[in-house]
Amino acid sequence: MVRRRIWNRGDLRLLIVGLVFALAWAGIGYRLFNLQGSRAVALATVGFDQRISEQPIPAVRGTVYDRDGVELAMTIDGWNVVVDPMMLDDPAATALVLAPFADVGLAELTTEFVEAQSKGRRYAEVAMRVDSAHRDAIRAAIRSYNDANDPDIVGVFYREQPLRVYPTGDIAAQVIGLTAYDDGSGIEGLERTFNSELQGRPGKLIVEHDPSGRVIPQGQVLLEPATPGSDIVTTIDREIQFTVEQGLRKAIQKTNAIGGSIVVMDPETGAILAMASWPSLDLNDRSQVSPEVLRNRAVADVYEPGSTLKALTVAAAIDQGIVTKDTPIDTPKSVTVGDYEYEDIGRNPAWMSVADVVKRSSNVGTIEIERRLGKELHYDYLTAFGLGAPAGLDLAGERHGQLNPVSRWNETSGSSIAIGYAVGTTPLQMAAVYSAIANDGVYTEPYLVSEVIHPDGTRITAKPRTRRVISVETAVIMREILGRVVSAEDGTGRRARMTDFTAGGKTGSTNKFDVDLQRYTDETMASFIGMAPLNDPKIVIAVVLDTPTGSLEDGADLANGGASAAPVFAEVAQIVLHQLGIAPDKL
Amino acid sequence: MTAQTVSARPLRRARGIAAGGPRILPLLFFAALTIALFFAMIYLRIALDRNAFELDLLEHRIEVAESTQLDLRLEIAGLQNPLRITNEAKRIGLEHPRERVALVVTGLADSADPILPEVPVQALEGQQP
Repeated sequence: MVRRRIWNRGDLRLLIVGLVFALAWAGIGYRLFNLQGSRAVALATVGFDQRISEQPIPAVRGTVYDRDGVELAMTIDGWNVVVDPMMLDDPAATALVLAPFADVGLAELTTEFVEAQSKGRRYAEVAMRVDSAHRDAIRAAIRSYNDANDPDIVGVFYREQPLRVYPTGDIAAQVIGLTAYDDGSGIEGLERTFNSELQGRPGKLIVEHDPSGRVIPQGQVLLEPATPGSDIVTTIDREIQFTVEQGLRKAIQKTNAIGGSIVVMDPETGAILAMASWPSLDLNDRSQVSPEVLRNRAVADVYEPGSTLKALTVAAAIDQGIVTKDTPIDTPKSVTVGDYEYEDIGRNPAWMSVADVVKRSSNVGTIEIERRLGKELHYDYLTAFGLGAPAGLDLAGERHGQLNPVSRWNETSGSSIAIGYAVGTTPLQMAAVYSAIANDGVYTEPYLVSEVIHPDGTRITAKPRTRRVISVETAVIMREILGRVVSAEDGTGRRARMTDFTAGGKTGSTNKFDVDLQRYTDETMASFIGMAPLNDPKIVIAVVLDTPTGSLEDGADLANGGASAAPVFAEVAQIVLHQLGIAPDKL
Repeated sequence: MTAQTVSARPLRRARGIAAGGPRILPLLFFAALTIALFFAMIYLRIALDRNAFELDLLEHRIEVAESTQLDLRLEIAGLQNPLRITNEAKRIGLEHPRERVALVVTGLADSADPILPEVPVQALEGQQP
């Protein structure tokens, strides 16, 4: 019997081969599904991370200009010079070539390279934040070495690091401020206040590279360009700022003051033409940086303005029609308010006109005028003139002074404030008060930045707010009164006289309050705030000296503003008015 | 076996084929076109790369020029520094004038309309030579 074969040999082979292929395809299919389906996202991410790297593109920080378009702060190309120690054949020779350009000495650099090499580190710093000329000098030195020696120096790299520089060094240092060393953000002054405008937006370059880290040519997948920061145009005039700083420096030397500040303001526009503080620093030299020198005393130092505030008290009383400049005021040697006795320095007549009260800076007379004015009206004028509130510069460290609401005034508050005690102001606030008098009674908010220029060319222009605080007539009378303070032989501000221009202003000398001892000391804050030319003031200058000591040749005590600060006003104002091209009105 | 007569059918002739064999000209033309396209693509690719290199070079030049411009701006600002100018002026012996001379312009203070001297205005009127 012949057995019937269901499968012949060929069919069986075919079946086996088919099964093998089917299994193989099934395996491939499974793997395909595994790679392209279930693990697709994870694997794609791993692959992307392996071959794609992101390089940040730093944004170029905006430039800070003075009002004439001269750079006060700008960013240039800078470099960090680093070394891969593992690529160095001869660390000692490399250190010898690089040491003259390095941040550290030869011995330290050699040790750093050798230690880094022994520990397998691939990074060592040579010179950080250097300019292009410095980098080119390093390149040239290496090229010169390589031409004459074998093996070559390799493994020196230059990484781009924008460099913030201040072309004028110490001019307007506290106004401009500083940027942080690490991330370049503003930490002081305008650099801090306008940081969001200046810093721009960093971009990024996403590149494709091979496993060894080399960038694949034309493998770049995304470039997100950095947006440069906006530029800001300040109201600072560099020439005037320099004049003011020189004047302040000389005054500090002459009066042995421990510090001081000067503000120069255009009363019509509110623009700050100069703002100087001492002690100061060179912004390009980080070793000089300390909180003391970075403090902008013109906006950060709150002091009792003393007699310079008498002008405001008198202006308020005249504006209310309570007194005129000729109204006689009783001026006994002293007056008692509550349990406190106020007295005048020096001898005064038994009565004086309101104008003479200001001219001779009578405490007793001013207190009498304030008594007639009343504390509510007095307070209203103080706040209208901007005291107790920020002057509006938004400058880093700016303080708003101290003025208690009238509900918290005690029996002596009104009298004390009338003569400039029991109230805290900054030199800038006092300059703004006198600017209102100079500007026919219109208070103009001071400002320091006139324009912000965006990268696309659009500009945002400052529009300072204004408000009338006293009438034009009152302002004119006050200018006349303040003019007598300077022009009269017995005026306390006679040393503020200039040869070419008329001027008006008021002296101030306040004893400093010792917080620890809870009493006033013999140390003073001496000040003079004035305006010129008197008939149509173009500038208001506030000069404040902290603890001046000594005396003038005629015996005048430099602790008084009339002896120490008034001459600074005269010297600075005369030059500044000539710099502004104002025609002399006193020839 | 009897012979079977088969009616004679004429042979079909392939259209377009030369009597001597298949036509080679279109094939040659196609091959030449392919080769030409191949080289054209290579040429275009090279041209593209060359342009990319030139663009890179130009971008680099722009970067260098911008960097130089920044350096020059810094140098100008530094040269205009009033402190440097003051020191330089002192070094060469310049000093502020000690005497002041007042120049009084007649008529300016007396009248709202200052008397201006006559000046030739040909240039303004386009009569310059």
